[in-house]
Amino acid sequence: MATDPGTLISSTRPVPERDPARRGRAAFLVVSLLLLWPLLVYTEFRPWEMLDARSLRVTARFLAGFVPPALNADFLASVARETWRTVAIATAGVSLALLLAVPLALIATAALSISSLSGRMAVVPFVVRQAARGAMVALRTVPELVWALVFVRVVGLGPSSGVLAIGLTYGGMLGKVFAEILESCDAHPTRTLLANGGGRLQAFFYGLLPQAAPELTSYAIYRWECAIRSSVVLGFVGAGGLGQQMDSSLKMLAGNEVATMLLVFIGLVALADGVSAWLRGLLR
Amino acid sequence: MNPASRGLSLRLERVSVRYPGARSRAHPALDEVDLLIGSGEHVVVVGPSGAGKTTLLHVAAAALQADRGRVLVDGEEPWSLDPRRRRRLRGRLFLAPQVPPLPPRQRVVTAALAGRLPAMSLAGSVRSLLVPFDVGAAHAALAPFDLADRLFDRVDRLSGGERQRVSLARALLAPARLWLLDEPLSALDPVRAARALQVLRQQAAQRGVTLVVSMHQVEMALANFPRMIGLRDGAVQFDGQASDVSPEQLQRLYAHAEPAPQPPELPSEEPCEPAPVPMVWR
Repeated sequence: MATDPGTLISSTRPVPERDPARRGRAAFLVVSLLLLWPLLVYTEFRPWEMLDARSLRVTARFLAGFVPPALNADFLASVARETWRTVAIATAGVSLALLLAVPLALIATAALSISSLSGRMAVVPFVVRQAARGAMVALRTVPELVWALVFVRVVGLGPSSGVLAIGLTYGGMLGKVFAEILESCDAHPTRTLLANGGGRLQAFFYGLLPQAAPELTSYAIYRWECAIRSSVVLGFVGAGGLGQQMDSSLKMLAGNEVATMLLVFIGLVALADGVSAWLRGLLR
Repeated sequence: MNPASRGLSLRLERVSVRYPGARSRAHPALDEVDLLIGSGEHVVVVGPSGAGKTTLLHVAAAALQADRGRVLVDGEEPWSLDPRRRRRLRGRLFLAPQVPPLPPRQRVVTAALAGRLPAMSLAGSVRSLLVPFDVGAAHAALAPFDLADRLFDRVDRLSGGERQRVSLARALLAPARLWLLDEPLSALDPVRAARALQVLRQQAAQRGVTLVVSMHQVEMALANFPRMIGLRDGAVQFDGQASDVSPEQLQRLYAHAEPAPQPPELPSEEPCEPAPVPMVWR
């Protein structure tokens, strides 16, 4: 085909003088700031009060109790035992959460919808997806602390109520974010597999998983890290682990014991961070 | 030839498609298209960019529902089937989109074997992710496209042209009786394009598969296909034996359309540059 390049340039429109999106963006910024100010007033956000002499004195006295960290053998042995229990609570809790989250995410994600291949999702799949979404909202809306208070009454004091509490709340969180990670993948491979007669799960394994695996892994590990921290709070209501120990140390004003446990926590979180980075590297 | 292994026929009756959000005064993507493609036929669809070639292939693949008119694949209306049977029908046709639908982190062997998924059980396909179930078949499908040595490479190590050929190799593995290939040569250099087209036609003929290809390389289309359909502004301009298509008809087909003229892409695109495969990445 012969095409004269000269005839291809036919646009006579002038170069636009400004970006048409500019006004909208500026307005959005101004409105956001105007809305933020009353919120700060309403929440009595006055950080400078932390810096007056009295507050500084109180803070200094509290923090002075933290040094040096307690390092006697008996205490370290019990910290090690409780640390192990904390890791076990977090791991078992997140495993339970994954059992809930993976099926819910696969049901909820619109990325695996066959009916929306051509235009809009059909009614029944839409309702099912919304139901899965609703279940996950309910699971994660109830804070793990509340679940733990419930389960402490049902199964008694101890780690198992912590595991159940983390499992339910984190199941909702993991499921929601998993579904959204899958939706933000490139849909082209998945849609082609579905259009060529593949099943939803086949399309997931061959189209979505290779793209999303690192994100899914690092988010699951980040949640494990959160579960470690969360188990501290749960320990305060009797769900076992380091948190329970920290609760009693705080009540006895043993700041140096608290300091030791905080150091252990920092170590655990750093460990989770390292594992996450390592696995992401493997999956890259 | 037994009925299970004959190519699927395709019939479009007054099919119209208008995309939601398209400007109302613009042409519909397909405008009252009538078409009959017999079992085992080889047909090429040509026309300027935006003519509706992709829409036509998607409608034929039951990937897109027409707003009006009837589509019959092998005598069945995909959209009046229940979802299970529609899925089975989709498994009997193969649509290769213009942009290769390959996840970047997948290995070539897995990406090619994905063409076999409609014929595989879920358990089998998951097992195949760990240990590819039929490396021999993948090798045999990739070899005619000169990709046999890339079998265990990852897709993101391939150039754009290589990705496109992997996506075509899928057709040879698919349990399909109708191949709908959307600009299968757009990222290939002229030599590779000619070879790929030859392989596809040969394989389709050998298997008795119906073959519908859209492309911009008019010379190559005329030389290789017995039948040519000219599409412009969503309507069929001509449809007949390729040998009867006159240069004037082609001139008219590609003459600059109203509001936004786009030149037909020439076959002289970059040979194997890794550039033209768009990828969504966060």
